[in-house]
Amino acid sequence: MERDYYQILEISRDASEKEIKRAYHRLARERHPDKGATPEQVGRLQEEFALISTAYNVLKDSQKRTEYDARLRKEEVKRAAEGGKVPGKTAAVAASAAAKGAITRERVGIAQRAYTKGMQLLVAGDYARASEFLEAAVKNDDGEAVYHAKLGMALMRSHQGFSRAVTAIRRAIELDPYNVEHRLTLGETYEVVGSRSLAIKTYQEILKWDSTNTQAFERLRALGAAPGQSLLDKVLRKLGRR
Amino acid sequence: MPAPIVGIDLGTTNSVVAILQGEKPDVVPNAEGSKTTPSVVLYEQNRQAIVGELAKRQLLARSAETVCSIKRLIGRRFSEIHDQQGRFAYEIVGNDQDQIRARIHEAEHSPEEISAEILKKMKASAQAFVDEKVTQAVVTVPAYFNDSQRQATKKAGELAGLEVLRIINEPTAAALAYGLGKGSSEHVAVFDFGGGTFDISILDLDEDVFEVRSTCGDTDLGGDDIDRILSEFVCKEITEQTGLEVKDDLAAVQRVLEMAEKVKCELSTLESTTIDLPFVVADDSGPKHFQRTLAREEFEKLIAPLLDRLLRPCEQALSDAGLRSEEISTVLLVGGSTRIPAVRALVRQFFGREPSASVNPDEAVALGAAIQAGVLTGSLQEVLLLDVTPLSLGIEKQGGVFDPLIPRNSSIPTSAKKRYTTVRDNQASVWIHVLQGERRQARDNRTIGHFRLTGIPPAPREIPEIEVTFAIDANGILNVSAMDLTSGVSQGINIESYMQAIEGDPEKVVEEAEKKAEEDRRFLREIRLKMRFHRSLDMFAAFVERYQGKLEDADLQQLKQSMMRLDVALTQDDLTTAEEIETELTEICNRYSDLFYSHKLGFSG
Repeated sequence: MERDYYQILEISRDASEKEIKRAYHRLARERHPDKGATPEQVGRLQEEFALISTAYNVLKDSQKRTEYDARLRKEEVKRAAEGGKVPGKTAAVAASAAAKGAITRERVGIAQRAYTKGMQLLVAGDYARASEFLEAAVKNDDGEAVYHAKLGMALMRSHQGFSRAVTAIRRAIELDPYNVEHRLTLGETYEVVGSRSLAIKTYQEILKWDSTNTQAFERLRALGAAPGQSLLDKVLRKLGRR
Repeated sequence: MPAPIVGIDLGTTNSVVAILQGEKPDVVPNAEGSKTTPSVVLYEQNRQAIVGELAKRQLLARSAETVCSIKRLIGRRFSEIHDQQGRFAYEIVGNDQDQIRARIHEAEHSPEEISAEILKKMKASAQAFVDEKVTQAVVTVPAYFNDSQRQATKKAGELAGLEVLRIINEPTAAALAYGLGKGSSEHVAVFDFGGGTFDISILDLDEDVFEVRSTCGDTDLGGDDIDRILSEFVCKEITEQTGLEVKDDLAAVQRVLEMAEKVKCELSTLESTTIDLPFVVADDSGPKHFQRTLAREEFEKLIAPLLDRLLRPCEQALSDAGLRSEEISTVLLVGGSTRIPAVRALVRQFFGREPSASVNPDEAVALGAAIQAGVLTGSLQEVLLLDVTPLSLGIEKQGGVFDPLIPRNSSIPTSAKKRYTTVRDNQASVWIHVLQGERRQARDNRTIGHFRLTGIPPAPREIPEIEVTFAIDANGILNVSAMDLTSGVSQGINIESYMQAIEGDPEKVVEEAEKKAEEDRRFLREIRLKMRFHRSLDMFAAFVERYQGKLEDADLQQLKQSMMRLDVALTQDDLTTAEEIETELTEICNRYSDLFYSHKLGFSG
């Protein structure tokens, strides 16, 4: 199994920012490529230290660290579910991690079931009840973008609390910024609320990320904001470039 | 005792060389007895180069043969700077590979060669000082220099007969000079405003470990620009007074520029000074004089817009470091332009404290480079420098979006891995475009290089897995390697860099350049064509994938087959066939003109 970033930096999962920094400096004193005497040594250290820096670059940034922790936990839960054991060095650490893992595992399971039920209701058109289940899914597993996105959709379709809907979808986008689906949902929400300008902005944003997205294109056209003038510009630019 | 490694601050206007004596670095004086050497290179008719004070003194008389501020051009493309051509008194041309050349006495010199002349001079000073051959150096660059600028600086060292053991960032070097032997733990900001570049770096000092938290800057902002603003102002006044245009007279422009630099320096200590330019222009009625007093206040008003540009990088660096200005305990000033009282006032105001006077703004960078040299030889074992990469490094994703793999201010050396797979059955290669910058659209960032990952074994689509490793070394320079995860075979990757520096001595280079002109043109055309076909191929693939349900079966088969042939033609560099196939593909797609048209538009955006 690959070492996780905490193992690479030789620190515990709950290390403070100061401890992370201290660990990095200590490892740097030993293994920075500057400490190599021969070119071969420098090359080896360079590779080794790059790994240490990669770990440090994630853990030194509190936001990236939170995201990494969530991913790490999920991977462990998955492994545990597959019959593996939660990794840990000492018995005490293992026991506490296992306990934590067990709670997490249970909650992840609840979230999954709530999500499945919520989706069934959503598809069936019972948006009000769907949002209750999806709410439960989010409460038990905050790190899953799609839970937030579907919760937002359910809230929007049941016309209860648009600001909550927007908040949920925003959270989904934050967790999974590369998924344009969430942004499409956000655009739709804005349309339902009647905020044409925000909807247009959202769809235009999508085209910036994924310029082949026909759905966003269609919506913009329907809103009368299809990039008419700029479309022509693009054609001309395209022709000019060729 | 091992051969000494020198530390060289290769500056826009001045260069400095230092060497470690025991455990303390010392600046080495040049043959003229001065600690700083003007970064000015004069080319004689016989192509002999004169460097330093001697060249600078002849700037006025021989401005078209004298190169200054070459650092502004190193590692850049002609298309990036051609609108600033008027700023240089010597002739600048671009060759067919978009590289910059200074044309003097019918010969063309690359920025690397010109910088190498300066480095040779610095090397000679050091050799005379230690009475030993010097072959290795640590050279400094602005922290905000990109990959090509760093590569080019390294290349300049090689041309000067120096093995550049390490490229380090100027503000970081200055921090080394400040913190060596202090043993303190604090947050330090280095404000480095030199002749042509501006950097701001925030560091954590932890006894002998110097860790950079963030860096920001502007590689095209310096004291030079202040001189230019002031001289433009003076030229305008001369024209108003005399009705004569100064710009037509190259020697007059140079004189005004020199006067501007002098006036700028004087106003750092005086409240007002006199601009005196006798016989600066002339017409049929005889020569005209120009004289006027300039108050510091007036000068400051003139340069205020320029100084405003210093603030945003400061804010950015501070916020990237995650610190508030009051958490910074020491602010170091580096670079000659920090002598300007208005600049000091700006720093004082921004950081809310008096900047430290404990380092010499002209020497600190070279001293820091010498300290790093000591770290590399092992004579300063306790000291350790941990720097960051100033700009995000990433690749172009489909749709022209920039996907950063190593974000800015990542501690280096570091690496990132990215897995690639195929989108078509039996696809033999993948095209990868590597960029550096902070903009979201790939085209707004700077291309470091692009390469085609070839030799992928035939397999159904999405089955092959190739892992590409992007590694930034301690010099801040990128290295790329790839491994086929299915076979475990690693590949060397050849980045077709735009900035391939030409090797060899200057005279040969000129001859070769002429001989190669035709070849170069073809080379550039081929690269452009190749890039176009790669883009088309990816576009057709995306089109087929999206609309395959709507296409006639025969057309679909035809498209798939043609795409495979295009892929093969590209791996074999057969551009004629590639072009034919591209036309075929377009023809088929045109049968679905509505779909294809909107798809293409979307893609090009």
